[in-house]
Amino acid sequence: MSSRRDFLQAFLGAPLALGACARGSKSRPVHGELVDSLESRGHGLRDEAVLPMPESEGDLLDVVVVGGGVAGLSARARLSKAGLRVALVEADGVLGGTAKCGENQGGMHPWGAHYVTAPLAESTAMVRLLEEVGVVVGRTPSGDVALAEECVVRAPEERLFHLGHWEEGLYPRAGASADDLAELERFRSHVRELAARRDGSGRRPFIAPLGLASSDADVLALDGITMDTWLAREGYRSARLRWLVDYACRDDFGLRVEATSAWAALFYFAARSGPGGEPRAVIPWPEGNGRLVAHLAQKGAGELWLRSFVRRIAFAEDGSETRVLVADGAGDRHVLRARRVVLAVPRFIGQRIVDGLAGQGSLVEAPSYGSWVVANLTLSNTFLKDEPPIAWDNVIHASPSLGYVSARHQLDARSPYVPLTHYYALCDADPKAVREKLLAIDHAGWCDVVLRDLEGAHPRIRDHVERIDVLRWGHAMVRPIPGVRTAAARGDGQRPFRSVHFAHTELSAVALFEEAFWHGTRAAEEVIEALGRPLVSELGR
Amino acid sequence: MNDGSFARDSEASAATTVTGARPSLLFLNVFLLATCGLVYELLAGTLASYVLGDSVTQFSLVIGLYLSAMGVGAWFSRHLDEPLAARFVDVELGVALFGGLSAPMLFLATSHVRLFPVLLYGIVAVVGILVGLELPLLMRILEGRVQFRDLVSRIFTFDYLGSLAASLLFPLLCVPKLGLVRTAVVFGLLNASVALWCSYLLADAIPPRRLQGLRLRAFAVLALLVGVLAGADAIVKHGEEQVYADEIVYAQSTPYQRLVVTRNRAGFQLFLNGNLQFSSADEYRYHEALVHPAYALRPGAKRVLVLGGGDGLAMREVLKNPSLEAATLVDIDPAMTNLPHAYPPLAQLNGHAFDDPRVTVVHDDAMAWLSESATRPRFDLAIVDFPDPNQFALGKLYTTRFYNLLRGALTPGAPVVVQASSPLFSREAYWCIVRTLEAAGFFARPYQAHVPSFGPWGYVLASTAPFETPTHLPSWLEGKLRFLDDPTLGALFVIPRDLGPMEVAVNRLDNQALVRYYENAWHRWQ
Ligand SMILES: Cc1cc2nc3c(=O)[nH]c(=O)nc-3n(C[C@H](O)[C@H](O)[C@H](O)COP(=O)(O)OP(=O)(O)OC[C@H]3O[C@@H](n4cnc5c(N)ncnc54)[C@H](O)[C@@H]3O)c2cc1C
Repeated sequence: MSSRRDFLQAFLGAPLALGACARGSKSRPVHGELVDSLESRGHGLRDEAVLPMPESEGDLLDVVVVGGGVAGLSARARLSKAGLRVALVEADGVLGGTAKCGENQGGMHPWGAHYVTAPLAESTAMVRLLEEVGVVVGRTPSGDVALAEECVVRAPEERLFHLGHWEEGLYPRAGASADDLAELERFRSHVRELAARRDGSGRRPFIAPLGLASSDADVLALDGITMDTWLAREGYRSARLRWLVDYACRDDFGLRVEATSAWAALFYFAARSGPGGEPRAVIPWPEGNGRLVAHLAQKGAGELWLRSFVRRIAFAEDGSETRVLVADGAGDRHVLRARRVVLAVPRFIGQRIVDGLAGQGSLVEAPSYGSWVVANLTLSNTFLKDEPPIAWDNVIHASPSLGYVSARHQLDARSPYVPLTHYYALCDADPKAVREKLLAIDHAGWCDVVLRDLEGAHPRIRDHVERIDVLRWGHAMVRPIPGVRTAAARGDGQRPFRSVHFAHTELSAVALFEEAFWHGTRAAEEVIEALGRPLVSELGR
Repeated sequence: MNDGSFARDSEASAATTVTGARPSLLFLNVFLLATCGLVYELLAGTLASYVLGDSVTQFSLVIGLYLSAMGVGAWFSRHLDEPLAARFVDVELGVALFGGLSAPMLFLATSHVRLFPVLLYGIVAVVGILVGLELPLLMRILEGRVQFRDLVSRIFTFDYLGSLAASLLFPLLCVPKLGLVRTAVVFGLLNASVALWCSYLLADAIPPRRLQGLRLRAFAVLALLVGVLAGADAIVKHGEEQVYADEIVYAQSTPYQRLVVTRNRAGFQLFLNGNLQFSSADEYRYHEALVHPAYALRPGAKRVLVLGGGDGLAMREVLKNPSLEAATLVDIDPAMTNLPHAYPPLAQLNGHAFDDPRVTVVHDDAMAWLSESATRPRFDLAIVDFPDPNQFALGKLYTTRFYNLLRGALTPGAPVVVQASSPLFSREAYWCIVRTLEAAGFFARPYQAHVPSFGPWGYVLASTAPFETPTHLPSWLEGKLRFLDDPTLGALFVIPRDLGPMEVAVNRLDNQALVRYYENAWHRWQ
């Protein structure tokens, strides 16, 4: 009991935890499982010894892509299109990385990334990709993208459980004073103003992908301070506005407002605003960005090594080839020979596997990574009976979690189940300590945290639970603390190292599909050029 | 009762004595008690079939449980000893308390799926046991005072007569005039009054020390019930009872909705989630106006699609067309299209439409079904008859997305009619449906008909090709209609000033504007 109280307290705060334990709610065990994560599998990455690289007689490939997340898959698709021979190695059993999805009796559900924002017309590669999957269906008379109605998030989009009631939208409205609302309006026009800015060549300072953004000095300067400081500097005092901004930082970056770069926090709002400052539509799929992962996977060709871990990348002395040492699911070792490598994994992993990469200093050499826990709850649809209509995004004001999205929201199906995906970003200052704490908690423990959290808004939720599956992301996403964007804007970490080209969302300092897609495509185009193939860039910059 | 023990006590010596004049008054009490007892049983059966559905099963279960619990009570009565009269009054007070509070408690529990049956059968059992104690106790009290053969004959006569009274009063007076909750409380009050009265009738058989306590308890029960009666309105407001002024003859909860059929002198009515769908008295107006203006545009339609309309009444009108070859009806809820089987008067009313060989019934979400239209032959006329858009799950069936999918299921220029709620009650919602059809590329023409159960009712006739307002009904409808004729048809398309067009948004999946308009109207009219 005491250990249960300890971790409930650690993740939900003392009042909730004490409440739970005082009531002594002997929670009955919940079905489900703890889904594998990179950290829990442990691939001996921490071994100091450099593994021997056996000789290999295998074919010489054009490219080996390391990592089957969005960046790796985007690179593979682009390389295949250019007619190159590619192999992709992915440590996990499925493709997608932090954008992967899963499936159970309740249907498909995300394990990480769950939506993209409607692309701006100038984001041509994203527009094309979304045309291919039937989301973008044309242009509006004003030149903006026209979206397929069924793909846009359905109403009601978001709601907040605040002071005992659900309110529409995420701003805690009940009891707001005139001053609060005036500040909210001022903040909004601030954001509108930032979103409306254009540089000499018509580029916006805030756009995903950032490869298309202008680099206004005063906007980049925002990366020098935290959002907290910025709010104070601009005279924002409303606790409600601060909550909204803090929620945005936690939701997008897994950081508190005190730790987030002001540039990143403003990016959250401004990059999601249309040409006139109006909010952009959100595009969720029941399986989250798993839909785009499947599409990218099907666009690429060549060998796929799943459940296979790249342990070392070494270079032939004469520079003629690169050797990639792969440990497959059975523990057997293989060597892949390639002319070039696209490294689509976080830098902290790259440093450990690429010969000579450690010590090639840059600000993003060791970006800070936060931990997240994602729980997929499958509820019986009796849950809906006594509930107000569920929204796509459902947030609990008093909770340290991010609330949940419901995949059911986008479906016409008559499923007897309601799938909820619950997100919890561990925003503590010391990511390493948190990671250890997190990995020490088992399935039952985390179910307890999740249910206890949701009981704040749904007191009877336990009655409807069929199963809960949990994934603990030890290194979920890069944390945009001040300074990271400045380094990214310099292009730190993007320049190739010998025959290795880098592609990962962290190179933009924010974790977004658009960034991973951009860097994957960008790295692939570098390779195409390096191998002397004709190139017509698809990046649209 | 309140001492909780039925153990023999030392007052056994206080022999029961009843004076000669009183037994006849006691027989009147038997009559009243029997009435109360049966009323509680009927209440339980009604509430059970109303909340849990399947009235046959629920009534059998309730009656069976009640009678067997009475047996338990009767068997147990032998363990009760003197002073019997005091025990009798306590038992009466118990019946009054549990019976009187039965419906209020059950009403408050209707939304608790798990609690409700437990509470229901618990109350039925307790009341049954207590009622089972009544007659054996009374017979023992009167034993030796009245000739045994007279005693048995009178007690049972009054008992059965009381039941008759209950069975007549309950449907004719209680449910229509008082409603279920008040009925229970009123009979509880009657029951408690009888108990109090008995404490006077049997005063000389009750030890004086006990008399005061008994009467105090009786007054306490009476006071409690009076309090509940005063609060009955509040209780009923939480339940659905007020919606159903009439007798409920069929009720079922399905995964999609709650079906309730009520009956009154005018006929029967179907409610979905508490909203009236039709009344058999005037549904012909609604359904003739729904189907035939579209037929007037395409009298030779061969393949007709009906979306919603699981009661089969629109289908009845569709089948009047002699050149019809195939009609497909898509309704999400199998329980709905099965209703004509479960409740035969509906089968009669829809002319056994679902038995017609031209009809195919599909159980699917209409939106999901339409999205697979590409592989199916197209329809040359469509009737869209969904419940009013009072929730998001229904609102999506009125969106541009839905109408775009519908267009894909139709031959070019096929007429479509959409039931569009009340232009009086929710004028914005009505015009929102018109505008949404237009936004989805249809030429739309609003019209309305007067249906007494609903007031003025709105429809939209639409087609992907421009069309003239229809003025002539198909010749094959000659003599087959009660409401429409050519002049009436033309008049449907005249929209009075107070129902005229409004500035409204288009209903899309991502704004669900229609549900919001409808909700606002609802708040305005409440
Ligand atoms: C919980 C969560 C929610 C998110 N929500 C959203 C969202 O809603 N919208 C959005 O746009 N973005 C979201 N993101 C961010 C988004 O997932 C990323 O921006 C993007 O998908 C990252 O793709 P990537 O390819 O750059 O990196 P990753 O997803 O990190 O992919 C790296 C891949 O490399 C593999 N790998 C690592 N080391 C090795 C090795 N040595 N050998 C072989 N393979 C290896 C990993 O298994 C992984 O599959 C979310 C992220 C998380 C964690």
